[in-house]
Amino acid sequence: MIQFHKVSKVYPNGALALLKVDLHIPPVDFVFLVGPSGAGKSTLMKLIIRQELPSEGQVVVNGKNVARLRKSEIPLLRRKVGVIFQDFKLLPDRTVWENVAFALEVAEVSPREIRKRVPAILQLVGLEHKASALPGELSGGEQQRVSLARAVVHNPLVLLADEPTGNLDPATSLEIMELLERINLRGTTVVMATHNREIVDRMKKRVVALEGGRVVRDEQKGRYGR
Amino acid sequence: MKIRTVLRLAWQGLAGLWRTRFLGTAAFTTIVLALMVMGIFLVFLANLSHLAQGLEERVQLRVFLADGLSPEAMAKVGEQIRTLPEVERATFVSRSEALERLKRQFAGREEVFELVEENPLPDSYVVQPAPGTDWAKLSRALEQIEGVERATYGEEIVRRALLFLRMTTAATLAAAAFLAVAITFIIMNVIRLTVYARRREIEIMRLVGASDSYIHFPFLCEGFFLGFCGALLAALGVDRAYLWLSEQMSRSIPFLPLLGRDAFWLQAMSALIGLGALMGVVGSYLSVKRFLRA
Ligand SMILES: Nc1ncnc2c1ncn2[C@@H]1O[C@H](COP(=O)(O)OP(=O)(O)O)[C@@H](O)[C@H]1O
Ligand SMILES: [Mg+2]
Repeated sequence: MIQFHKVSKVYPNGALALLKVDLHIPPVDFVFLVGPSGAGKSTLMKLIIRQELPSEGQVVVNGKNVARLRKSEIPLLRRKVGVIFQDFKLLPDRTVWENVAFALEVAEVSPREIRKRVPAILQLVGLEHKASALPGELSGGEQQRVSLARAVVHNPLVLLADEPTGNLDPATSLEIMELLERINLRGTTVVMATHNREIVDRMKKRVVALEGGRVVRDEQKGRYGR
Repeated sequence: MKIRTVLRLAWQGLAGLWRTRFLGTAAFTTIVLALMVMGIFLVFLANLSHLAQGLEERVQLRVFLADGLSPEAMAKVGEQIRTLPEVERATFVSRSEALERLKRQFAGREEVFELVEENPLPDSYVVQPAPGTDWAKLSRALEQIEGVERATYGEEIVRRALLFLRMTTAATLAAAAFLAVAITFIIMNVIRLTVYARRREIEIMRLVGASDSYIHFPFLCEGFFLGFCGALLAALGVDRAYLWLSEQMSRSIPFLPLLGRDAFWLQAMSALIGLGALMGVVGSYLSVKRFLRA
């Protein structure tokens, strides 16, 4: 599903974010990206959705080299790869329903289809009763679930989660993890960057550790540390 | 994009203008004032070109042919005229064509011609000299040709006046172009504010896979409305000002008539409004493009 071939990334200011990364993530895998802050986890995700281009090497997503995509194909890639973040990135002046529908609107999905799909996805994340609430009226965990709903409403092939539990308490974090696992079971490849040792150790999934832009460890059913 | 999407995004653009209370800002006032100056330029240009047209007819280089030449002889004179290097073009005007033209100039007063029994006009060539030619010298050379009676080009002063008009026209066009760039730049900066106000939304749009045109469109509409409304107000202003000015001028300098407002008015004002809308679209396009690249 995702392949990195000797990928390096140097930002224009000279910061080295990734160095000769080789990584292969098969479909429906669940991968934790761990490593200290500045290790290159976010950069790796930005390369997958072509928010950044690799300085060297190739990033292949769903069989396509992302650097070679035409400008008009980039939005299509991003509909196949959902993303969530530590800070949720919701629109504060729109309701839960509108925030989720937003992702479908930009793809010009018909209003009828939107009315069908939004409730279904809100139900998946357990927020059907909060459809008309504003993000500011929700707890952090609920906001993250809205953002998750928005990320998967296109039924993406891949879900990227960049420290999704960074702002949440442990109990709420576990709820989010349950949802991620559920989404993974529905057939979506999940890649999650995290600092949360407890979660990684409990889930027993594949762990890829980055340090200074290099992959220093890659093990199935891994743990946060050695 | 689907029609439904286009309408929705256009509406968003309009709402954006309202949200930022744009139409009441200093920036909008500046845009309207600048567009008014633009409108004055356009009207000025129309008047200049009208004046120039009147003069042009008087500064043609005409070569009159001797009476009673055969058609072959006339053609031969034409060939000889055209071999001169200073001559760019030479068009034959028969005496009957010349009379027709004269009649057209006197449209509405045809009774003048009732006095004339026979066409008194000679056959002639209208010569277009190459730029930079010395007309006096050329006409002397033309008069040397066998079968040519006379070569004339009206008064030198008129020719100078025409040259001056042309230079003024060029200068006005340059000023108008400069102004257009300035207005586009103002609109660009204004739209940048509204882009900035929606930067979060734009970031999310890109993350969830909105196409660039989808992101651009509301801002293009916003720019369009801005330029369009600005130009509409400016056109109204120019209209009032011109009305007043023509009244003043017809009273104090009646020999220099301004064009009537009906002759070209609709064209000049639609040009102004079209230009305003175009500058709005271009300005916002540049603004959003710059933002998306950053
Ligand atoms: N937009 C950017 N411009 C310049 N340097 C950056 C940018 N983003 C990240 N970096 C640098 O790249 C390195 C990796 O950053 P990042 O991928 O954000 O790591 P992580 O997500 O693991 O904390 C860091 O040294 C960071 O300073
Ligand atoms: Mg990061």
